[in-house]
Amino acid sequence: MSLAINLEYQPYVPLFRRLSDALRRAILEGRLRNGDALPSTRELSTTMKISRATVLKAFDDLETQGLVRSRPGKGLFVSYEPSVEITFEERLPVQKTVQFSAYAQRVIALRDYKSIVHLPATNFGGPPADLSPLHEWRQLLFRYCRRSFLSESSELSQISDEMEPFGFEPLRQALAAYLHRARAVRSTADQIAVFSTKQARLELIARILLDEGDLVAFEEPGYPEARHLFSSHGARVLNVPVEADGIDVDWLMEKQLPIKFVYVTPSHQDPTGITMSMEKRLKLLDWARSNGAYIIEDDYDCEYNYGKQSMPSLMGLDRHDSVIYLASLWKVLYQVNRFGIVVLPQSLTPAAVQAKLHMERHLPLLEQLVLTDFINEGLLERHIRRTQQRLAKRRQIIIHALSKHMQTFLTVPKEAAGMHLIVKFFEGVSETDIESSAHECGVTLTGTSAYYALENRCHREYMLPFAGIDEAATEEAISNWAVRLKGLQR
Amino acid sequence: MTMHPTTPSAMKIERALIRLDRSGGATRQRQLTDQLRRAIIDGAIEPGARLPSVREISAGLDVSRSTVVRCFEELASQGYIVTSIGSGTSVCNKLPGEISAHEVAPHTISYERAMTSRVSLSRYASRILNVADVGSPKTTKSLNPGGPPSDAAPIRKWRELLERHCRHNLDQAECGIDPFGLPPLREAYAAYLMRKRALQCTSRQVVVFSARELRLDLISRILLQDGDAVAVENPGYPGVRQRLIANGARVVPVPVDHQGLNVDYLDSIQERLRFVYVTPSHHEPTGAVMPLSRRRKLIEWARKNSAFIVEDDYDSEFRYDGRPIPSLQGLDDTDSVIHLSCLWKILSPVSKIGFLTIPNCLIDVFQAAKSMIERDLPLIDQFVLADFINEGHLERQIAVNRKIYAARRKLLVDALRKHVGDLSMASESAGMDLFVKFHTNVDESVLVAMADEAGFRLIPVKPYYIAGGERNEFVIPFSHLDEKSIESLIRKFSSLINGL
Repeated sequence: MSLAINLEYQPYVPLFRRLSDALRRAILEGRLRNGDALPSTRELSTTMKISRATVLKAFDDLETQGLVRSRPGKGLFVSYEPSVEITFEERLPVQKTVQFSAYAQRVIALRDYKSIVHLPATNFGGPPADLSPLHEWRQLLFRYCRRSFLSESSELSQISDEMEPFGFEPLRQALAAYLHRARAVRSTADQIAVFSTKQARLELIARILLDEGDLVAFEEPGYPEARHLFSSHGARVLNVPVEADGIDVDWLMEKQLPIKFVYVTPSHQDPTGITMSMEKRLKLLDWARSNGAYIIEDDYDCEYNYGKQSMPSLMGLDRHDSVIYLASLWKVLYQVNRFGIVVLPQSLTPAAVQAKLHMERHLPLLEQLVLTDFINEGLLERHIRRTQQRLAKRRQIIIHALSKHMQTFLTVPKEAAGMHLIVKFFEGVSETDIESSAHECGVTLTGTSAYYALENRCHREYMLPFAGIDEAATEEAISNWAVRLKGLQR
Repeated sequence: MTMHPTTPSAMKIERALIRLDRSGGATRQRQLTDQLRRAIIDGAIEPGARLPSVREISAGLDVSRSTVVRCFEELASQGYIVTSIGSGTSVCNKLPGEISAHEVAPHTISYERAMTSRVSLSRYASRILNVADVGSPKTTKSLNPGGPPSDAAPIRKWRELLERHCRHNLDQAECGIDPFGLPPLREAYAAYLMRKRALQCTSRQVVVFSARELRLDLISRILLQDGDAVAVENPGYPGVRQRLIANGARVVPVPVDHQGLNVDYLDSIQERLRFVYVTPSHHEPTGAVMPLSRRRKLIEWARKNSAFIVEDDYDSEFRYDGRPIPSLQGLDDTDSVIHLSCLWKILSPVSKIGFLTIPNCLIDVFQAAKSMIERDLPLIDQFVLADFINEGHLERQIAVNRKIYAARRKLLVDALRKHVGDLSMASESAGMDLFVKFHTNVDESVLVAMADEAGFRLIPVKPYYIAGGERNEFVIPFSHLDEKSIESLIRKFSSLINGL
């Protein structure tokens, strides 16, 4: 019999497996049907020019998978039949009327509402691939991807306690130590919860604190994904203006509303990049204490500050158990690790443990082991130091190019931490012109309008990510952009 | 003296009980096995009755002897019949997996509980703090409970694939940003589900979750309003019940028999049910497998009541005899089945990813909700798992594990029969733990302690019941037991009991 078999070369895949894979495909695609005889060993070995031992090994492999069966004296036969007829076409959608919950209805309503701000072009706010610590991460993965660490009987997997849903305990200890060193956060490992995504952190907090109709104070402008998440839980979101030194705390004090919590990004306000002053920090803590409210401190972009002293976190200043601190290594480790981290006030840990049990009880052990060592062995801080130099250079290149070519169109920011600049264009150019000309010149930018809940606020304000720019080509791109904008202005 | 049940003659078997359809549908062996089992379950052939010999049945029904032998083997391994040398084959006195149904009132919990904290938590928070008392899940002292034993985890292969994917820079940009997970992984998994579990789906319907818990949680958030009624199996996994109650559901228990959830009972419930949660491929804890006829009936029920079926297919890979029954999702053509699956039993601890296959009518709302709750899933894991499936390693690993578990299960069943004797066991040979019921007056806690002393785990089934529960019912996880020591463990256990 003749059978088209393609023994595609694949690195690290032994020949016998390539043969068995090719036969497997033939079986699954229906080219070999149930009951069909397979070509004999001899036939295959002569036509494919491979040894009979290899063919036999491939046959063994197929037998293990239950795809073929041998009949003594007669050879091998396909013994695979899909138990229900497989149709690869989509079934016609049935008109089913679904009665959705109030939650589902809110979620649907919020769906298209200016929520996606992390576009692929800006690499979702994460670091560019060339600054990811893939090499170090890989070495640690191989250290732990072994039976002796991962099997049920291994000592590591036996470690467990009542805080189990919060994550692997040694990792929580490592995080507590790191956050203390880097951000002056004082906490014990029992207050730290590790999540597999960053979204799940706010979801859990909203679940345990919010009922429909509750009041939440929010920065205006502020991170839209967080605002939508609170709305999805039925909260009424109050938009509190951000001033030059952070959220307007006097506004909060005057209103005297029964606010459940305020959500702030004090170390690097999202999107304006403003750092909250010490005076304001203390005032905010005082407001929270006297109103019995919580502060959610999202410390999302605190790793890179290019030499400027960073302010201690609210969590570190708080003495009244009223700060919920959110961290992630998103800006450093995006490609290899996307865990979200929460440091909880002690009053919330019992409810949070129970809630976590119902959201995600177990995190992948391997990833947790690797991150533990990555932190404990100093690799995280070393990597941040190294990439900071690289990023500082890119930041300088873009600021230099902007001041040289674009001064007539926009204000160039004097200082900027993190991975993007905020620029505000002067009047006289339309937003469509700005966006289309940037696109044509290969300059990446994202408007901040999604961050504003109140329509009449900022226009012509953009985020310019610089972490992933091409160092050699940036100045030229920006000068082209300036030329094009001049042409459009006339 | 007990009266001996009558032996049905070969003629009776031939004429009244077994009707083989020769038009080419199911194989004769399958038909004979199913019908004989049916006759035993229905009581048409009484417990203890002797069966005609292989030769008699083969002649009477005009089927080959080997067909009859294989049929007997299957029924024997399921605990319906027993063959002893010299006295032929007879129906077991105690049928496997017999548990009695309980009629219990729907479970209610008190929503009020004094909160010690200074702040007012949400209603959800007070429910989850209360719900911890609703049956406690199995106590596990491990970060990897229920995972495969160390000799059955594909750690070396995983490492190879990790090496491949950590070589070049990972860039998700070209794959877009999809809250349902990495598209290549969803395609690979959809093909696997269609191939191996007889689902009918496209990759658009497949949703990747970083952990298993969030799947049912999200389903209930999307479909349930406070106080809505949901049917669950009784007994059933307590964690499921807790998750539903936490989301404000009123849980209505439905009894389970040897064929899984009792659909007639479900049908008799008057109030409106939003969905029913079932584990048809291997009911936890009794091990019952829902037969095709009942699956069709359940789908019919869902259609009639415009309710959803939440099908938890969590270990259907491990069925050791008999052919796998198509999943409810594959049988349904009314867009009503939400299918839960995971690869926990094969890949834990290297991956804990869970999957949902949702009906088309729920795609939009899940997309909206998932992007808020859990969008950026671990990247490396998804790339590795996609290759693991596409290159056939998953099916290879399942085949390897199935062989190991089948052997361990058989050794355990044989040893229990031989040394303990007075017990009944799960009828269907599937899963990674064995349901047993000891017919003894020894106290439950004493049995657990003795098993512990003998060196294996005996997990009481009581917490699985919403109310009541039978005495001395347990599950024994067997996947981690060492072949060489199984018999001696059970022997030791038996001598400990007898020593009382």
